Amino acid sequence: MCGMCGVPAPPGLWSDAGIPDDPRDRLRARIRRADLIDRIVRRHGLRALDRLVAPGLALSSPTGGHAVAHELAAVWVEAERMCGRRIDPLDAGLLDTLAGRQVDAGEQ
Amino acid sequence: MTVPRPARWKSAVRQPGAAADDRGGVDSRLRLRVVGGFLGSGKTTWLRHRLRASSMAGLIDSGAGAWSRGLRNRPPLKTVVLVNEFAGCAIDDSLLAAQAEVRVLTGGCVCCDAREALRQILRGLVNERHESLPEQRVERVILETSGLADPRPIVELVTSDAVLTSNLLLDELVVTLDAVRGREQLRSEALGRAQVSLADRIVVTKVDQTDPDELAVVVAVARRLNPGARISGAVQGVGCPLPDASVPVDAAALAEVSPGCGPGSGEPAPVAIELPVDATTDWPSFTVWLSALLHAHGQRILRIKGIVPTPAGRLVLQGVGATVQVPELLPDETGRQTAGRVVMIGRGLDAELVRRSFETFTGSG
Repeated sequence: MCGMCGVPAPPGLWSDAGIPDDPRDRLRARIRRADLIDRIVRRHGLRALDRLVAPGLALSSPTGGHAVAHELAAVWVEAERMCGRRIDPLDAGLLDTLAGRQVDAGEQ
Repeated sequence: MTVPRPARWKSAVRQPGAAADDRGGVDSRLRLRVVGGFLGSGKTTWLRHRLRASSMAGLIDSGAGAWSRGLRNRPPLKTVVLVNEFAGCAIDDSLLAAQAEVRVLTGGCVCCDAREALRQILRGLVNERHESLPEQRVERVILETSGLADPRPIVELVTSDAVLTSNLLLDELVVTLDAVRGREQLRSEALGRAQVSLADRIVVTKVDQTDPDELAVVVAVARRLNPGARISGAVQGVGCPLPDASVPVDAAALAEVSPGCGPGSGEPAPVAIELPVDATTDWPSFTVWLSALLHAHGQRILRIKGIVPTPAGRLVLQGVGATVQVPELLPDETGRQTAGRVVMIGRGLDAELVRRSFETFTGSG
């Protein structure tokens, strides 16, 4: 249970297992994840932001769409729903964007 | 992104006085081993021998290989065997009862009709364990599936149920493969191929009942279906050598039973993709990458397994399909902190593209 908002914590996420049991490490992990996800979803015109003071990653669209994902699997479901496109980590264009080989349209 | 304190991770898993202390900090969840294989492939015979051959835990543990190295040389574990029979009455339980406490699930496969029954019996074992004295606590469950069970829904049950995720650790999928009938079963039965494709360990049984050429073909096909699995031979449950992988196999015989050539399959051959994971791999980025890959391509991923060094320690990563189990934390071993390896087995995946994607996301390229 989150002490801030009362949202029940899920029973356990595989993705959290590699993060040390230290508040600062967990904060850094949240920031790193949010930053990478933001770079991915920008390609589709979305933004991702972890406000840190509340659970969940906030996704927003230019048209005012908004969703909060409480785990990584839900991020992709919500992002695809909001942008209406498939997000594929094997997409060569996405890989070029992440590698800095081209300018992300969403960043212009 | 919320990072809730995983309820079962570390503290919550360890009940007061539980085995965690006895094992030097090893994940103390109840360990589940699934023994599957097609009808008549020798599951019960193999298991009965393994149960009888010693006080059980030592031998079975030693077979777990790379994924449980840290757990060897510990005292035998109290074990419960769950026997699932497709028919309404059980037979195998009477064969096993002399060696272990046996509980029976009849009237359907645990992957479908009896899935809820399996959920309830596993939850019951978890509750019993919490209420038991430490010396009476069950530490291992072995599930012998029916010959018609698909292992994937079983894994999904264990990794999706809130109670089971927190208290149960899927240790290993062992699949028996009949050396005599295996070739035909793998050719004609999609279920047989699915069982072999998902195994951590394939035990080729009845090795003495077939000729060396046929045995070599069966082993070669099993290797092709599941390049990441360990394969061993057995006669009446006793281990025996298999043909060397370098022995030439009749190409025509191999093609006949290869993936994609069986009736109704049309599946591309599985590929094993090794990912260069080490201590420098950024865990948060790795999880973003893997979750995105599983979301987009989970249907084509059969298996993920490996050891990942992370800031929290070395984790045993285990996944079936798009489902990943909450990882087990291995005990610290001097000199092994940076070693890691992840193997992904999938169909129709471009290995080079997957590796490039991994390296781009994690910045390890």
